[in-house]
Amino acid sequence: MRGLDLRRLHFYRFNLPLVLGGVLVGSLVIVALVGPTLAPHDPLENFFMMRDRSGELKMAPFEPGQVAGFPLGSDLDGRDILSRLIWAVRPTLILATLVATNRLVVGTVLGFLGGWYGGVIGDAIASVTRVALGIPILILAIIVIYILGFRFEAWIFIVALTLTGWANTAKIMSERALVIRGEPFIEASRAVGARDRRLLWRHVLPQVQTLVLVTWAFEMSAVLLQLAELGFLGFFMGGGAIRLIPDPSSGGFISELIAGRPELGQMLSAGWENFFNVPWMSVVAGTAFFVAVFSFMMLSEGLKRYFAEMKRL
Amino acid sequence: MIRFIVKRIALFVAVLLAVNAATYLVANYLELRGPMAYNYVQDTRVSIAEVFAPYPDYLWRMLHGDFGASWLGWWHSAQSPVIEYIADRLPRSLVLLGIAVPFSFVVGITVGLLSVNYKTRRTNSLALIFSLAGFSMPGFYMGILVLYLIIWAAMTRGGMTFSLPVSGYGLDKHLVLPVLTLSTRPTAEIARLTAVLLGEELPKEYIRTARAKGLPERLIVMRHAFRNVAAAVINAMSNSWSYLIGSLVIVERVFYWGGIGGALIDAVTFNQFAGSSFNPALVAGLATTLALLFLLADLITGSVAQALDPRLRRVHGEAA
Repeated sequence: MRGLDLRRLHFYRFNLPLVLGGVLVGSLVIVALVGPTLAPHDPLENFFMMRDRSGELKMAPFEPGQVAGFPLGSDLDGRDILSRLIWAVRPTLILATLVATNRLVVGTVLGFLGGWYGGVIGDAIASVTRVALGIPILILAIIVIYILGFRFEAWIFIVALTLTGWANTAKIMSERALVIRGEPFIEASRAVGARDRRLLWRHVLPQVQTLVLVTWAFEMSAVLLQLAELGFLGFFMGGGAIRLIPDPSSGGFISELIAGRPELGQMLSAGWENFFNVPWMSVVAGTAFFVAVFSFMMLSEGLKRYFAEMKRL
Repeated sequence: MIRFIVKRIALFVAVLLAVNAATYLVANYLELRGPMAYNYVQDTRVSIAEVFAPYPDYLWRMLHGDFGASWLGWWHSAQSPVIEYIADRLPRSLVLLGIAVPFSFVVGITVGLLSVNYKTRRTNSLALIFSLAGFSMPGFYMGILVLYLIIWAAMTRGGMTFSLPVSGYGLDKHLVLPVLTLSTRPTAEIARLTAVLLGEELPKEYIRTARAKGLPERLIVMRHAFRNVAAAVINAMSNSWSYLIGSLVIVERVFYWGGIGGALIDAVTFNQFAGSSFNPALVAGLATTLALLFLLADLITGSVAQALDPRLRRVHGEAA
């Protein structure tokens, strides 16, 4: 009953999800690490007028491939979408990692408490988990972001997405804890006189290492998906300013968000606000999110398969 | 049985009251506090007594059938009662869900059945990757892609006539895009679940027996294995209703469908910048309706799964 030992890695059948997920996640991490040096333009620089391929002057926004040096086009303010995209990966990935790790820690602790100790504590945690699983996380996150204020700091998103987001992990972990509690080796070490704390640290935790890894990858994909949907609805991390435009038809104002620092959620939000002017921007940001979610989902699936074949899950 | 039903109804009422109270109080607090948008942090102190003050009155009037007025802000001229506001929008959401959910079940189960190789009992890797790809699409992504294609096609043809209506409510071609977008993720999930569960079911002994009897493979899968899988698939779907409700909110927003999900987001985000005016009665009414929808959907899927698989019934009976 050892933990995960890297020297004992075996390679069985060709594991397509693991390879695909690993390559995609690896390239995402590389873009996040060295991306900004690869970006062809400053993500905040405005190019209001450029010559297109036939030599004519074009006003921003540029369509994809219309102007040399802007392969994915520009946004309404003439900023290069490719550069913004490359810059945007880092904050989004950091935020998603923070949220997923938080969820995992809270969920594992609560799930183990619930599964290991039956009785009142176990029942209480189990019913809280069931309720938390039933609450639509998107709607709850929006409400929490409102309560904490639109400050667009990372901790607001961490709180909003962890508040019920831990429930999935807790459910998986408590089921696993229930299984492990009945194993003979637990009984054996109990007979030798081991206390709960020692049991949990020395015998149970090594048992769930692989499961934690698989769940972490899955939670990463879930968090990225929820960040995408929040971004689409206009809730994203990163700076911004508001421009109010008088609207004669209703007598009120139309508020328009001009965002500064690039973040994937912000790109999605801005792209949707101006969808009929710069439709490619939404597609680019949405695809970036889709690829990120997909790669972590594949990584999770591949790891699950790999550990199942090693009989370590 | 009667005890079970009474328990269920009591649970329903308790959940709805809790959702109603929580959303009303939160919305009332936000209304009193004022906006806190984009580094603009107000130092308004709102006492708890202030937040709770209007609630007993609201509850009392709600018991008499008055759910408040659907007023959103000073430029929002329409002031119909909340109950009418909801009654206008609820059928639209129900139509969307009522088409998208059966659609995703039919397509998902078909794809799932086709992606298992019955000889080797393995799931087709490519099919698995495709269903995982569908499963990792954010709720709006399919919609945005198709919208972009439609706009692009219209622009290359030189006109602004779209081949499909891109927004609005209607029981004709308007349905295509919202249904497609809403059902992408559940379809992929159902396909994957069906394939995985079927792969687990096929090596079992009763399948071997059926094969030894000389039954055709199609009969074995459809009549023996699939029966055991179907209930599990439906039961698993009942867990993802909370996600589907969130998805509904987004899809209604993308296509301006005008259902209650979109109305809830409107009520919450409509005036996030210019002077907050949350309408607690409207927010609470919409949230309660969504919660009721969720509870009913959960009840229906749970009952169908139990009717299909008696084993689930026993487990639920113990839990209830």
